[in-house]
Amino acid sequence: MKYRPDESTLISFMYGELDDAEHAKVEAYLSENPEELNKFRQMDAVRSILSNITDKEVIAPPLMQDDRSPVVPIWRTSYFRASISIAASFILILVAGKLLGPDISYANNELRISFGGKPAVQENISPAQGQLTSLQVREMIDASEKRVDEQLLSTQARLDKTLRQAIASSSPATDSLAREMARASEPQLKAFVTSLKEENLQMMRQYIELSTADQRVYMENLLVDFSKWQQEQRNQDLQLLFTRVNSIENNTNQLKEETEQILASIISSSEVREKQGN
Amino acid sequence: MAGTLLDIAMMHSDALIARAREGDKSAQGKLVQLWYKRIYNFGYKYFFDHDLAMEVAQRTFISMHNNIANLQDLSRFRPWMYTIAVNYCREELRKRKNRRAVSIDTLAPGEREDSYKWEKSNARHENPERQLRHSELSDLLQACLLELSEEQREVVIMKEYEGLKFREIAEALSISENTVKSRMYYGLEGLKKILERKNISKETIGYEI
Repeated sequence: MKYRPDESTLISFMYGELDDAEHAKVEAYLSENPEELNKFRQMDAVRSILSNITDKEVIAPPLMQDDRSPVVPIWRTSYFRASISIAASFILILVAGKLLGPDISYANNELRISFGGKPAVQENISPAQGQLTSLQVREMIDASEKRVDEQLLSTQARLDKTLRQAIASSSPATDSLAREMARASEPQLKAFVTSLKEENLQMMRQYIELSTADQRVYMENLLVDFSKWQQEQRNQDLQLLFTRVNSIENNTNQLKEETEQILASIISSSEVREKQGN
Repeated sequence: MAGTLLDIAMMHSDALIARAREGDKSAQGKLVQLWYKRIYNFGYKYFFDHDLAMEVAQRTFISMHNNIANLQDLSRFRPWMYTIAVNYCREELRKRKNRRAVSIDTLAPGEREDSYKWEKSNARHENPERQLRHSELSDLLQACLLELSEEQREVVIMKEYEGLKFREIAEALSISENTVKSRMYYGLEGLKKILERKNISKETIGYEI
């Protein structure tokens, strides 16, 4: 059967989108069929004429504005949700009230809100059982005050007695100590003062030694901490510098890439224009 | 015309697309700079109307900005852009058909010296007479293109001027590759007849220019 390319194959051939084998077959077919070749050339000529339509120059807008405003459905707005929750709570209260039987009353300067109907009030409670008269309350308060006063008086008396006993027992010991101090000789006093001085001196020395050692440790720690902090700062600075340098390098590469692209396009464009000019 | 302005830069803009997809505003801006001329010219050839082409380009880039995050495959960016653009072109065409109004530019296209288009033209500065002739020829051919059916015109513009592969056109228009080739074939055949009717050939063009 003789090979005859269909329209799709011819078009693909015209635009060079056929594989080599198919391309060769179409080429052979056209060379064997002058009429078809002529028709093909006419189509190609149409393409050539069409290439005279030039692109219009246009300037792209410099900025892209995001003018999308997020469209939020009304049921997602906070106002709607708040209103709905208030309404739902109100309905819930109404339903609960309906089911439980609310009773709201105001009498004798008191507001009563109750559910489940009125409670059965025991009307036959005698005032003697349920309430106290003002006279009884006054008597109870008086009795209580009297008891408190009695307890206070007895406690004060006990405290005075204890104090007197303590003073009486301690005063002879104090007197004897004072007498002994007065009897002490001069050499004894000197020895006592000298020993006091030595003790103080030793204590001061120990204090200064300890304090110096502590200060030394503190200073050492301070220096170590400072050196650590300085090292850390240095590391951070180095890291920052490294990041900055990397960023600059990336930007430079990107700029280079874009410049190359634009240059390539400009060169290509000028070549196309030259061709069109020719 | 695969080698038009900024085409090569657009071919190597994968990194830019990836950044734009991640929400980088600067990358999105650069994509607009790279692609604006292509989409505008696609719209212009589709309608032969500056305002409509601007409208389509603007809407296409707004849509790109809003939807680029959903683009899965970077290599699909090119057909994806043309899908958006062609959809807006079709929408505008439907609106125009419903309106039944004719633009004054459609009645008197071209950039004659007394037209405002000529005043706005950037091309008039170099060799004015030659540029004018070339511009007139371009407009004449543009008018021929406009006589094609909508379906054939889309395919012819995408293939002939935007340099898309048949596979990419098929992807952009959501049709089979064979259908694309068939539309291209009949589009070229139709243009041949239109050009013959208007007595435009390689020879007459050579004489004119």
